[in-house]
Amino acid sequence: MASETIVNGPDPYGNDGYRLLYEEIMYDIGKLAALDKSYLLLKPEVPLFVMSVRLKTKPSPKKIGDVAMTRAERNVVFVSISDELYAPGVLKSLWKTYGRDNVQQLDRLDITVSGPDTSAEVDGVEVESQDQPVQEVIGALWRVMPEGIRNRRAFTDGNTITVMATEEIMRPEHLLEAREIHDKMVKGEI
Amino acid sequence: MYEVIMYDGGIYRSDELFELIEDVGGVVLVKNRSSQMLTVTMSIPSEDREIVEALCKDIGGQVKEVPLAGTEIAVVGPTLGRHHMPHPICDVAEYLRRLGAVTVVMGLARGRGKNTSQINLQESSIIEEYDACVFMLGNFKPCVETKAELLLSRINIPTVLMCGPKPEGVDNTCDAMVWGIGRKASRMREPEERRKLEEIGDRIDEVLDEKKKALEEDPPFVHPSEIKALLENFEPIDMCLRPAPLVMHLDGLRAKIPYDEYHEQVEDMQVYGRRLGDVCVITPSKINDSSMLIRIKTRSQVAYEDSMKAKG
Repeated sequence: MASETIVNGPDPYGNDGYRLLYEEIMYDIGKLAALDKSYLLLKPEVPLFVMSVRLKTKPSPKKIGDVAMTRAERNVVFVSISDELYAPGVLKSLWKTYGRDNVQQLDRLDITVSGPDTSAEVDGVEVESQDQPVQEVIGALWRVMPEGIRNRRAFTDGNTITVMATEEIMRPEHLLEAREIHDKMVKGEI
Repeated sequence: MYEVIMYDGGIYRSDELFELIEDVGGVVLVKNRSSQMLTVTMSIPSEDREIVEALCKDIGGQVKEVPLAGTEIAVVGPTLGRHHMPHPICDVAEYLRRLGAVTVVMGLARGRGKNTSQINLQESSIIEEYDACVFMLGNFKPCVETKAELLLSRINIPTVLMCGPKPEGVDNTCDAMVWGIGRKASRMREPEERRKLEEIGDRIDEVLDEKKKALEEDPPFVHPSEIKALLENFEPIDMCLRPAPLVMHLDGLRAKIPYDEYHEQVEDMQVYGRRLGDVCVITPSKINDSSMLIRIKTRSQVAYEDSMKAKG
């Protein structure tokens, strides 16, 4: 199901412009399909911007078993990467775990690892931490925010991420408003 | 009456084109060669246009209208950060280049934000070196109105404001406005967006026409293309590796050679029996000292200075 984006603000042109900008940037980082619901509060006259995103699933760490096929043969594990996006990450994790001498890259997507006894051991090596998708979404929200609105704060709770920003002093009422939106997104009330 | 057109084609037999331009008494304004491709912006007499067009087609090129030829335009954004670049600022700059203008993209040091945005004297004086500027602002009406008042009211050249919503109360800060283009994260490819680019080109053409009319009332002592022809044979310009070492403005030109090193030699050149330094104001560019600005004095200004000298 396509994600829903709610934009709330007094400036109709700005609302439409930022909806498009938000969706384009999320598409650029490959996260648009992973979004369940997004709520953007745009108050340029204050200025106060709150962007809250609920992901479809709670981000979990990616392991080699999730992104590659492995096969053990005479103390050597053959790794065949199926998701090209994670190819640099797989190589880096294998180097870190088994050392450069024991990891050989046969071609772009095929790697052999000497040392591990079973392929399950290699399958369990972490490629991407749980925080990385969250950081990517926060980075994208920072790109969507107007550049000069620099005083920013981010809240994360499971699969909900909220970023708020104002230009000068962040007042308690701004924080309260952002917190309310975040809580409603967490509870599914928005 | 001279007309400005652009040849767009290959370099094959281009020497014939340059000879013909010279034969009809025309001037090459801009010549750009990229690998085997060549674009030549030229000013030729109207009555010889047909012959030149026929030769351009004969040697396998195309002839295009370039209403903004002989001008240098600044496209200015609030910053050079990824929030404002590259779209749509670069799209606008590229479109204006297709119309024959030499364009420069600029960002302010502290132009972002609503209450904290600023433009300093150095920035406004750099922008004022150009014939006109297109200033791009964002998607929110209150921000556009605040920033237009703050930033554009300090620029004293023809300015076209480009923004998302239609702002109110900023008519006196700019010469023309095009709304419907705000912050974007993708190229301007849609038909509606292409129409907006055409609208910007038309507005720039209009504001420059007004400037041209004002200049016609008291024209420059010599046409900038004559000084360009004179400087082209000057060795430091000839050896200059920077793209377009001479850029024409409506009332002068920019020479991309260091002011400190060469200004005396340039001032001592002769045009119509006079020193160039006497009929032009030659100053270093505000951007840095690697280029100089040559602003041609008007005929009345030269006549007044002559009369003052005669008095004694």
